[in-house]
Amino acid sequence: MKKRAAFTLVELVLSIFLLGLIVSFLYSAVSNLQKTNSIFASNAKTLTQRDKIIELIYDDIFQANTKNFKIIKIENSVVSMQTKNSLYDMEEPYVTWLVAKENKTLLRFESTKEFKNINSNNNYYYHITKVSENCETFRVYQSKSKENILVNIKLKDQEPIIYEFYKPMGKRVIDKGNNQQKKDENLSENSDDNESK
Amino acid sequence: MRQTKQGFTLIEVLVSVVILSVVAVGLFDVSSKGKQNYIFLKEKTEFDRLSSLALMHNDQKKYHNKDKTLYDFIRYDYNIDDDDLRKYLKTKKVNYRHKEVSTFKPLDDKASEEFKEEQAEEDPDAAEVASFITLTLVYEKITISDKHNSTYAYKIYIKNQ
Repeated sequence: MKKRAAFTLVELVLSIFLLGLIVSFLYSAVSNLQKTNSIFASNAKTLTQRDKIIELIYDDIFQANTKNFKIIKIENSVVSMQTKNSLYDMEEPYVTWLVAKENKTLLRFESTKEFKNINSNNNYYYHITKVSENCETFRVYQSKSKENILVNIKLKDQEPIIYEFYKPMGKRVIDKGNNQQKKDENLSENSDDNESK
Repeated sequence: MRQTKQGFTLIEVLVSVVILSVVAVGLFDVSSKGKQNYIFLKEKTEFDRLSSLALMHNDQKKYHNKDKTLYDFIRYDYNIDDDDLRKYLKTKKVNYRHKEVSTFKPLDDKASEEFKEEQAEEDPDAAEVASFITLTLVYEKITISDKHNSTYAYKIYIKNQ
């Protein structure tokens, strides 16, 4: 009787062992790849977020009306302007950028009303966008030539976002906080009025 | 006579080893390329953004082929009262190259003079347009580079003779 040609037990065991070896290597390589991919994905998200922040403030400032543009310097900058860039389909809204004390959140206010008129009665007129949390520094500088604007935004545990661009204003737009006191007084007066009403 | 047991030949074993190593190298390559791309993209984006400081102050021809910090470019145009920002900009060293690439003159000197006279005779208003044609157009290339990155911009302006 002719003997059937077949694998011996030793050959089978050996082949399974080799297969196991290769699969284990492949698995570790793939899992490593997945891990690094997830890290890249989160980092890429941070990169996009940084791009979006600078893009938004660039669009706001570049399309701003030079007449109502004001930078108030306290600890960080408070930048108010009337601009053609709107996130809420408004025509020439008033936009204000500032850092709120709570969680150091970078906020963008957009409204048809000027920011200085905000009070507890009309605050629903203001769209507030939370741009980023943990904003350690938000400063906007105007050059001495009054032609360029420099933006510096530093988020926690990240490199600062620094960008300079052309925006001729023809006048100084920086206030060193004198107006802020007046504004605070106005705000407190308004709130007093509201309480009395 | 006992039949000799058939096994793999040396060539077969070598071929299988080569195929295995090619696959392994391919896998490693996939993972390392992604990392390289990401790092390149990140550094390039940051560098391009930062180099705006040098590009916006492009009248510094005296800085040609010199290593300068980014703070050097803006120190005379801004009052930076933020120490952290000043320190950060001072650590960013770049090489600044600013050179003329070419000039373009629509007409040479003699031809432009003739052209001007001609136009002035025909129509005094057209002489103004003619004077524009006799101006020189200058192309300059500004390159900002550091150890790993480089970016450039062209500056085109009309030089009055």
